[in-house]
Amino acid sequence: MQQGTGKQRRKWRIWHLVLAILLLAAGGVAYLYQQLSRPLPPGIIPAGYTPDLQNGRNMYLAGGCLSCHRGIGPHAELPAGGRKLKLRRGEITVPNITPDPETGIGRWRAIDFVNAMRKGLGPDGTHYLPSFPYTSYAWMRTEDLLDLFAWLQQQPAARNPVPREGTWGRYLLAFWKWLALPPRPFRDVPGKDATWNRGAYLVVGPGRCAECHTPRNTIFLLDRRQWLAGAPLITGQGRAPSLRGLKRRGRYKDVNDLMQALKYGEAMGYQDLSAGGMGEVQSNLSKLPDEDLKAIATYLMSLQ
Amino acid sequence: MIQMRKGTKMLLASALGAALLGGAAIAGSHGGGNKMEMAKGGGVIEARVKAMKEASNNFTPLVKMSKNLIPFDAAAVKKHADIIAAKLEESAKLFPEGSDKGDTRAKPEIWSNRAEFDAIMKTAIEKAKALASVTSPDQLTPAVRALGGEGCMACHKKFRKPKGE
Repeated sequence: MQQGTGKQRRKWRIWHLVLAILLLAAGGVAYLYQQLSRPLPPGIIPAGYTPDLQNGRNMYLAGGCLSCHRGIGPHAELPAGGRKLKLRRGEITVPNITPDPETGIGRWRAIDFVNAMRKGLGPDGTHYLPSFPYTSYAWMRTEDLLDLFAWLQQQPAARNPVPREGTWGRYLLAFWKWLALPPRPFRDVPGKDATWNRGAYLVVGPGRCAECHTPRNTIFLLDRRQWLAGAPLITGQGRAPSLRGLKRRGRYKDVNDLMQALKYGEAMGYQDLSAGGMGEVQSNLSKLPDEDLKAIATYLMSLQ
Repeated sequence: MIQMRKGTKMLLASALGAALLGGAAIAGSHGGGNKMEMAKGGGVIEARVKAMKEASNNFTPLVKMSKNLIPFDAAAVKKHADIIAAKLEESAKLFPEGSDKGDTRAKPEIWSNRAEFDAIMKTAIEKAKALASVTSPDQLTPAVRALGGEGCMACHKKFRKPKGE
């Protein structure tokens, strides 16, 4: 009898221990989730900052915002959203980012925009799906984000309500973003000149080239060892080609050649830059200043 | 944001995110086009690919000339531009209804949005004819860009699938 009671007591104790561990783990996860869902404070915005609208427009073009946010019908030249983005798993509707207060981002504060771009967080704390490529935009400097926001707010507002598809998976995104988001905005690489660094910034940050041209691992993180080495497209069909060794492989003769390709595309005989997603990219890039195109070409041509 | 070493992050998050794997992982890739469909409509597709290819091959020397890679030659400009115009006129007739099925990069939008397709094709033919009348080097580059941009590129951006899709 004595022995039996001891066994029972031990069993009881083990269950308590298991329960305690489970509770602690749940608490830990909840705490971590809460920490990971915290937005950046408004204090990170430099006081009295005057946005540069011209730079904001360039960021809009380099970022290719219109490629996905392009509106429908009368709003076709505005980022009014509403189009379906087809992914391998279902499709999502792209939101309206014109300054309409009801259906767009007209009521956003600058810090809301910075949080969306750098943390993938909505003003209400929603975790945005990574089809919105904040994993790249997070490399952008605060000033560039403020310029872009100011420029967006000056564009015509389009009233176009877009439903938001919600899934429980959004909560898990908090943990995924912890791995996927860069720890800080882009910093110039020492030893490289200003043109190269400008190009690297535009490619890595706003240009988000890696989102298509770098392969991903099983949990959808970019495989940095294969940086811009080409990858299967997220739509499930086709491939984004490698951007490494462009000169060695004879794709482009020199920096000027690639710059011309980005600027004129097929209008100057560069065929592969027209069809599909790259056609949209080239349309946007063609409107960038020559210095920026030269910078992008300089960086890309340097990749071996 | 919690600052931590990448390794620690990875460890913690993998422990947390077994479910995440299911949620974010990508399903196996789908195959390409339907092989059964590839067999159909071969003749007209082959013919228009050939006509377009010839137009493209005649555009290349004009691009090279406008980049000063080869010397300007008004007679050669006319010769190439005339061929381009003829090949475009020929290929405009080679997009019959239903010829989006097969080994082609033509998008179905050509047929659902035929008026716009025809308008771009018409512009392209006009620009090719304008290019044929170029007589001096300074007229060449704008004429080349007009054909390439408002013709070839405008149409391919809207109505042509990228390679391998």
